Amino acid sequence: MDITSFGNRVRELRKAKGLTQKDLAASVKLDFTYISKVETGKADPPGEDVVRRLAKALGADPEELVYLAGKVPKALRGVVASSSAIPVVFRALRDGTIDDEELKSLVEALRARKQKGK
Amino acid sequence: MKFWRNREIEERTSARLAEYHRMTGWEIEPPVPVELLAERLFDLRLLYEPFVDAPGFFVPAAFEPATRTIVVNENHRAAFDDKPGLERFSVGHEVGHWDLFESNADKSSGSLFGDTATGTRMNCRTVGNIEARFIPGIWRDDGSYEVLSYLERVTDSPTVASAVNRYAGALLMPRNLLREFFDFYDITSWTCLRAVAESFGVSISALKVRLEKLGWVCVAADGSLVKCSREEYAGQQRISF
Repeated sequence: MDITSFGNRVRELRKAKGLTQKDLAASVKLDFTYISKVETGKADPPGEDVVRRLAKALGADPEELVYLAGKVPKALRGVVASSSAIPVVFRALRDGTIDDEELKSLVEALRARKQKGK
Repeated sequence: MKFWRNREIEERTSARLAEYHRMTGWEIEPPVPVELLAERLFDLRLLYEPFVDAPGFFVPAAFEPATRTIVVNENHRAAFDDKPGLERFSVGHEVGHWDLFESNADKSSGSLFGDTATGTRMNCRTVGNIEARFIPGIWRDDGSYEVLSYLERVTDSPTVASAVNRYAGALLMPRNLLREFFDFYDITSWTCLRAVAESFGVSISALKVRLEKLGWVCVAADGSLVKCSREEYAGQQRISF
């Protein structure tokens, strides 16, 4: 995960809304020095709950920020843990042995197979 | 190194504020949003990070040209909390370094940082060993600005320190906005000056220096404020003797 992409996005959204780091920090009850460190990639992104608070304050898509923060959304954690195949897919994506297009093709093929079976 | 005249600095900061207004559509009102201005106009980053002052030095902020980052010294947070004007002025000072001496448009002005690609960090507003005895109380009294300015003069290049401090003053206290305030406030009243300083988010000392630079007011020998420039006041003194 590239933590600067999360920080850069937060900074971009904050600037667009005309908020200072202190304004944003106050609205989500964080310390402004931490916001400055996250934005400059000097600190890791916060946990999912805080990321969602940030998204709300910034008027942003929470899923986008959760994704950029490298977090697995709470709603998906159970699904990830319940299947031994999902970590294999994640590792393959990380290692580049499959890419996004191949993954989409695979999902489509699985859907088609399922449809055919009905 | 280019010497920046007062008129040039006034023109530069006015142009920057106008540019910010055009860019954002937001009216410029006091306190001037110096952090947003740094980010929007110059794409500078702001980082609060502790860094150790060199022995005998007071370093409220630094600048990293390679990453375009203003680093505010988190170790001095208590000082900034106590005197928000000190932090704002320090940020304005760093913006001045960028705008007057580092931005692409002014490469002819010469870089303070040498090769800006090397990641050099420029510690600003440092204070030499000799003056260390002043440091612990530097932000606690209204004379802090003068002390800091004096110390800068003896530790930094006078040309640069003078230019970036005048830049910070003009950026944080634009002439036209000050004029509007003093249509209603008595410029010869310290109480009024304190209220104006608070509105602009600057120290009373920084405001006093700015008003003196503008030639609007002068501090008389007895500490009272006189509505004239320092030169005019000095002239009057000579005449009266």
